[in-house]
Amino acid sequence: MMPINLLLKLYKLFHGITIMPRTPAFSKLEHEFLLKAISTGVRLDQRDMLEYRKIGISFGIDYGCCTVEIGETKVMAQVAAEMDRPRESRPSEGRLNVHVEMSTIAFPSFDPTKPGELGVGIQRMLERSIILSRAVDLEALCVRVGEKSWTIHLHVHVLSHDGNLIDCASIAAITALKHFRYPDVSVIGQDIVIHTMEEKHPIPLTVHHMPLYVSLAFFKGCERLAIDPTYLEEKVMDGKIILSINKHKELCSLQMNGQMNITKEQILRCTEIAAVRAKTLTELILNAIKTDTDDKKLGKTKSQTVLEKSKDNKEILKSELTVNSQTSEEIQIANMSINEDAVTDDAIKNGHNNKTEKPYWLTQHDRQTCSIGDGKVNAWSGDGAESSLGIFKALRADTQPEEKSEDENEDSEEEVVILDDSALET
Amino acid sequence: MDLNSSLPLGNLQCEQKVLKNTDGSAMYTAGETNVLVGVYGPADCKESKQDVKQAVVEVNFRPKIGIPGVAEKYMEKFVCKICESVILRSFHPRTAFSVIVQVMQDQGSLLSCAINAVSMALQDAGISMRCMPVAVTVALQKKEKEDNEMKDDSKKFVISPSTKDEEESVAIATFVFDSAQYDSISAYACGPMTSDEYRECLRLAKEASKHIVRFFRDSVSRKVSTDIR
Repeated sequence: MMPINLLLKLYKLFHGITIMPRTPAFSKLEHEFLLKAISTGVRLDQRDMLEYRKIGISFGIDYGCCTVEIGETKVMAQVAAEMDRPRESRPSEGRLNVHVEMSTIAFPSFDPTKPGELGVGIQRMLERSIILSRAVDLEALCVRVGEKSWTIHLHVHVLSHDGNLIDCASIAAITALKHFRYPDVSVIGQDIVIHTMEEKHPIPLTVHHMPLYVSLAFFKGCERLAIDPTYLEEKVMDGKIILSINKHKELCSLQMNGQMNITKEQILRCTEIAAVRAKTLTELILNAIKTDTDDKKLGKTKSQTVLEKSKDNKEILKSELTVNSQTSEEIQIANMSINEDAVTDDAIKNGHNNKTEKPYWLTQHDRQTCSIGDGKVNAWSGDGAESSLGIFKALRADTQPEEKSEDENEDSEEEVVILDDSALET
Repeated sequence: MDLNSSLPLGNLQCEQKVLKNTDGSAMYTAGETNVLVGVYGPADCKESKQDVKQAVVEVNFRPKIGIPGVAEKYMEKFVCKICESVILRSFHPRTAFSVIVQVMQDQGSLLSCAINAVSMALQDAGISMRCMPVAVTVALQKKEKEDNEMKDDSKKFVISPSTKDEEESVAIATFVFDSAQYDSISAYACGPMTSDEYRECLRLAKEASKHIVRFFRDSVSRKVSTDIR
């Protein structure tokens, strides 16, 4: 069996797209028009600035396969398990590999042989949010220490690109992992028997939490904020903040793209918006998986009608920020975000004023930092985080370490998700 | 011989214009097999691959797990040859057509499903074709009998076999017909078969292809009528 990297290299040698990479023309006039519209709070697809596109999650017959659509962006994820040796450095853990396939089908300039900047970016971000936040229990995948363990391959196929690929890919990835089942194994003496699906019920992966990416685009010198940008909006934006957050409001990854000059208040507001979004999305995903398992149970008694049924899972997910605010905290966020939609310098000052009457769920640690929900340890800096990401350092550049240590002592028993690049070693 | 089992083609579904950035696309479902096809073309072509007289066709087959292997390459070649014979390539010299086939779910008869999907995607892209290719897969199953092996009734032909049917069968044949005259364009067969059995498969496939063409026509007219609305 040839190693997959070598195979990939060979494959790349002999393949390559024949058609010239073309990107659809985008004129300066269009560019200006789009920006002008956005600066007045109007988007091309008639959405509000804080409104999401329609999301559809559909499943097939196979375990661990799902297709997610956000508007016209479409991503399919497929999970596969393979019996392999564990890493030398981590003998009691299985592995999780992320492969992102950028097919030409999604966009004329995508080349399946080279993932490109975007593809590599998505792969790295998925690794960061899923593997580094320990979303999947890898120790459960070990069959015999140092000898046998499962390797999980997560294939993410990008099928159509209309902006916000990373959100779509992360939903697809997490849903597929949650939906996936791998065969049961029994160890008898020295032998390892892998049972077929018919012999024994396959086991689902242990997913501790579901980190989901939410991207927020900034326009016009970071004065305008728009959620779920389309392809054209991504072309004219200054940059975007991409946050990975789970429903417990734990931040798992944060990335800023482009040239932006944004304030701490804006970042905090982004995390608030992302937290609400992640909560809604988690519910949607769990709901979709439940509907699918129910359908499959029915399907066994009748016939396999999973394909048609999967379309029933499509739900219109409009942001609760703008419509149907249910809980009080969502209303609060909605008010905060909509009032300060135009984040001009004045608005930032208003934001400061708002901070004085801060919502009850926002715990202020010191002058510059606060967290969502109560009692979470501020893992953004502190003693063990010297090697942490530069972003967080920059954020906390001028805070007093004394106050910090108090906070940590109080909540030291809380679970901390450490964002550290050193955890991803090969 | 069991003719009844051969008639139902399973659940056929086709949705065109499913992808935003391609010139033409189709999501084709036959039974439980599901294929997504995107077509670009006639498009600019690298100079090294250009043909002065006619357009070049390139097919890319993408499996769900792993990277394309020999089986995928074979299917690429097969589909490519069909496209080349069907598309009026001399209309577009020095250009290329790119066909990308993404397998969404494989539950048997993948090749015929892929060809039908490509056919619908090419139609969606508005590419001038001689005819539309229509593919049907037929599997031949034989029951083991000790006494009278010569008896015919132990044979069973399955049209659009599922993965399970394919495993149980002794031979599988895929035929491609043109939608105008129902003449055979291409054929692929594997497994031992007598010439009589082959002819029977061909007859059944031709019969089934007429149903599929009717389905093509229905789904296109449905699409056009919704477009008008």
